[in-house]
Amino acid sequence: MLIVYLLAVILLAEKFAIPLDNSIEQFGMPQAFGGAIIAALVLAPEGIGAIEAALRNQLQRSVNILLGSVLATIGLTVPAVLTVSLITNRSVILGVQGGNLPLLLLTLAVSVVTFTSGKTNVLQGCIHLLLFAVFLLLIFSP
Amino acid sequence: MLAPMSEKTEGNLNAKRSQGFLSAVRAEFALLISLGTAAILIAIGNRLLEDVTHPLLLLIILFWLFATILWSAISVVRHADCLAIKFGEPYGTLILTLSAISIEVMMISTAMLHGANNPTLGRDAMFAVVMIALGGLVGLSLLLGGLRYREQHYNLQGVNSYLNVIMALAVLGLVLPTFTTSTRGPTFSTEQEIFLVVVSVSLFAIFTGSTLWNPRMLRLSRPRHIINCKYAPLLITL
Repeated sequence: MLIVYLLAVILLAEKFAIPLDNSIEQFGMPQAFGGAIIAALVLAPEGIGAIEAALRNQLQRSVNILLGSVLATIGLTVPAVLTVSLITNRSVILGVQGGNLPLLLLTLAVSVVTFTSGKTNVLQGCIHLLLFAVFLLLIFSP
Repeated sequence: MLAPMSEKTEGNLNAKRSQGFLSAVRAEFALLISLGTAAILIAIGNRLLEDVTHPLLLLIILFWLFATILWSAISVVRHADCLAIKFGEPYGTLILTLSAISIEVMMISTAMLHGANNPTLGRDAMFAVVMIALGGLVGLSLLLGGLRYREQHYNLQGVNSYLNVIMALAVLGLVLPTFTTSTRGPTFSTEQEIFLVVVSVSLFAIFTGSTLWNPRMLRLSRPRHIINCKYAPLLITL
């Protein structure tokens, strides 16, 4: 069943890219918005699990799920995309540019500061949400 | 080892089969919907998807696909959780991680290959994953957890090793290409690409290995949801 589900998701994911691309073109959305929609889709199951865990006071589990999915993206999706580009002989744009570059570095730095204390409260949560809000702002006005 | 286990569950299944079948169909309804959608799309071909003359139709197709993929992805996680219970640690963790990753890798690489008039879609998606997870979802978890429990504690060692690897690979993969000079623009040359592929995959393998050997760092040791997978035979779940 797991494998059948994976196959179904993969089949649909392949089809999803086409209308997404066309919609962005059609409605004059910023191109980064498409990436954010794909990321939201990818993260949704894990995000639900993480927030549920935090509400049950299992912050360890919540943080593990979230950092695990970021690590998988960075550690495996980047090489996968690079391998695809090597095989198909297309150069792939990887570097983050413009205002997103300091935002990425800042987010990494803030995460380190947040997670080196071993305990967290509402303040840290608000800072992370602020960074997320800046990310949304930069999608629509880069 | 597998044979007696599945025989036993088979016996349980027979007892429950009469009332179990309907609920099984209901539980796997997402699969019917998603396979049905995929079959329709493959039958019609890409004509429907590439039709841009009706904006409303385009939006409906987009939302339909979004919802179907989301539902199926949640079902994948549910099945992986069941397998995690059956196999125990550390294999359960590995199955969960691998199935979540395979969805992600497929989504992003197909997006990259199909986005003909949007060459940065793959990069944007990966950057957005980092920002949504580390910004939005971590923020929301800390905020909601903090509001309910004031202060929450966790194991520092595990989190630090995650952050270490994330920082190193995020800067190498998403920041460095903007500044390298062998190619113009934010891209890598072929040698740099091969190097990064090897380095990232090995570092990820070492990290996964160290979490498997060190039980204190073990991730996802408990199922995410309360799930009923007692009567599902192993092979069907797989």
